[in-house]
Amino acid sequence: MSNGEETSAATIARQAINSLLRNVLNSRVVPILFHRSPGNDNGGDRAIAGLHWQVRAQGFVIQTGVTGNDGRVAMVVRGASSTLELLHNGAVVASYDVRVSTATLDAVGTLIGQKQRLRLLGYQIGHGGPDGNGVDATVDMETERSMLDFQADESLYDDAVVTATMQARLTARAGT
Amino acid sequence: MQEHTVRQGDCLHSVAAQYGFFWETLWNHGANATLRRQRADPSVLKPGDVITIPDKDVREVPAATDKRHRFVKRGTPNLVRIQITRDDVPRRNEPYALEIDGRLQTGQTDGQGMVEMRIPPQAKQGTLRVGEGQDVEFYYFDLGTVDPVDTEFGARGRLRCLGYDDSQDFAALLKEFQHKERLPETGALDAATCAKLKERFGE
Amino acid sequence: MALNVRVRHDRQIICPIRFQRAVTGATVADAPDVDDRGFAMGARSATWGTSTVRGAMVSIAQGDTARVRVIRADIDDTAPLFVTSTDTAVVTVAAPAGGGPLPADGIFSLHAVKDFPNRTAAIQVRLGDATGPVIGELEPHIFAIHNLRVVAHLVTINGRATTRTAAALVNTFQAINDIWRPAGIVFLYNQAQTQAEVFNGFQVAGQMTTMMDASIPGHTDTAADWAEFSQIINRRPVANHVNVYFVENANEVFGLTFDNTNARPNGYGIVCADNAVDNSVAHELCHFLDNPDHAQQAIAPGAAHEDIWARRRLMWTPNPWNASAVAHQNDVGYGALTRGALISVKDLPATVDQTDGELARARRRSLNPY
Repeated sequence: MSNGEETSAATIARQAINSLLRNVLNSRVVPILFHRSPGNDNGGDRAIAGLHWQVRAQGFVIQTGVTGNDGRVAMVVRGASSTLELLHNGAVVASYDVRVSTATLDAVGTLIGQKQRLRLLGYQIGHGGPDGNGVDATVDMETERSMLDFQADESLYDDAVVTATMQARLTARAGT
Repeated sequence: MQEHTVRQGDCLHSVAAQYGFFWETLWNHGANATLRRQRADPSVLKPGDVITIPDKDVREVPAATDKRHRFVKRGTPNLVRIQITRDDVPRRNEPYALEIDGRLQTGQTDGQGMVEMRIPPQAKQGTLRVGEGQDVEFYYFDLGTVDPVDTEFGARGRLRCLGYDDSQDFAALLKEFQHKERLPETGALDAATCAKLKERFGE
Repeated sequence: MALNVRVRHDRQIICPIRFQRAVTGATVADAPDVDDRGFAMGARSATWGTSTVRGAMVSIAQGDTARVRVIRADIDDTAPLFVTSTDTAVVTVAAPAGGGPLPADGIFSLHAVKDFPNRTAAIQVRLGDATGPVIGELEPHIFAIHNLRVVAHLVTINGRATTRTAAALVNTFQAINDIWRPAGIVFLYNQAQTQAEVFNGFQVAGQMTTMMDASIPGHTDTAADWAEFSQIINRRPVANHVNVYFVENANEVFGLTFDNTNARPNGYGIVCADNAVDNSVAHELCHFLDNPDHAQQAIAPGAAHEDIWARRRLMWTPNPWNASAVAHQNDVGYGALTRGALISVKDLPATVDQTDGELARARRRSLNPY
């Protein structure tokens, strides 16, 4: 990429015949889990099997597959984002632009940290915010509904008030 | 003598082949001594580099006129060697299919996740498939020059191959690499970063 | 349309759809509210059967057709969705034909075939076609109708009468039935049976005066606080009927109810003021059917519920409410500051909510309400 243009492919060096050098191609993999209901799967009670999928990155299809009983796609994300496409009879019927952040989650005592964890667990917090995945600093209807959903699913008092117990439970389910 | 200015996609091997020389002839020619000192690695040239192409020597071979004589062109096919990793773990002993400019080679990645194939000097593009079933992954790449590691394009290109989001701001991109590699997070392409980048990418 | 999903490098769960009432605004007969409170199903009542389904519940009267809406919470608007039933003897998909593809508004219709004891069915939303992978589930419960007879009493107090008429109450009970019929409970109001009741010597003309709240002058913390209420509900109740007394005004409430566990001579029945809207009369009938609690009731150390679920429940109070500082709480799909009409189908654990499971309690009481 010498002239600064964005092309789709990576560049690998031609080596001399007696070269000992190699070039590395590394992929980042993020598990995407499709569920019928949010929260961690419990013995297959919510994972969606049989979803046909493919991953498109930088213009090329780089992976294909069908979800098993764990509803899992080991998705490779290249560059800024890659697209996970769901297929039906070979045609794309739904797609998800997936971007990877390697940053740690915000503190669970913050609204952002709570919403990040709800989003990670698949609670349907909407699509506002800078990343279009619902994580922002506002409590709108979808946010309150997701907090209530989490409370009910976890047998916690359902009043949409985030207690220390609920924070601890969010951490236990989604991570620190 | 003439001069060839390196363009994107050129490497020493392709330029040599273009003009009908062995790459070592160009590389070791006195007129290219400065280039050799600057670049050190004949696979790593920058657009704008100037390679001096010497005049060809005429070589006379005596041969009987009424017989057929066979001359074997001593070519210097190049090599491509790629190490495939997933989350930095080599994909060892996995089936692969590597196609470069229409020529296909299949096999298994070795114990270090390596794939190696001899290629003509002007080979341009490749597609690599590694793994099987749900673990299959496709890679698409161009063959040519990798810019020097101490340039922004060279660093971005390497980081792209290593799986980073190379479209982001350069300082942020470097900090991400430095953070992961436990280097001081200067956001600058300093010596330590260049060395580690070279080590991770391979050159 | 692609959806943006930003993943921390760990993992990302995607839950594509959820379910919701098919309409907004006032209750509509064939569009019941959906009990979408969480994805756990809670305790299923005695004969409701068992299932491993996770999702929402909805109740439908046997023989009825009900509309429900699919919300594409985390899947493209254009993804083709199909709806199927796991047990067509219990419930079928009446529309769209072939189960799909669902129209742009996501609305489908269910036909409630039969109320079977101990037999659950699931409505499955599938991607692509009617045999595609199941991406979400709804559990409908079908209920045979219990008819309850209702007689209205039009009350005059110290010469001032309720403005309601026997004829106007036909519409009132039609609206009440729109709310209750999905639970398999229908109130049969016979206009011709309406009785006029006259009281004199009450504290205020036209008003049922109670002093139940400590702040009201005359509050004694005894049965005397509701003496006028007791007088009204013991005036010529018609046996084997639900007796509803309509007064012009009540100082403390829109309506007040004792159920039949409050045996006579203390008495039981319902009083509603003129300013009780149809939803509020339906609310009192729910009290009458063995649901004494309000949806906002606190379980210590938790505080009273002020959330959007509580406000959508028929048994929330008051209606309308004083505006919440949280803007989105002021319309839960039924209009500004307007209570919903959800009679909770799920019975969630006591740590979550101790006032729900109303439908099962109401149906049990409806077998012996008078």
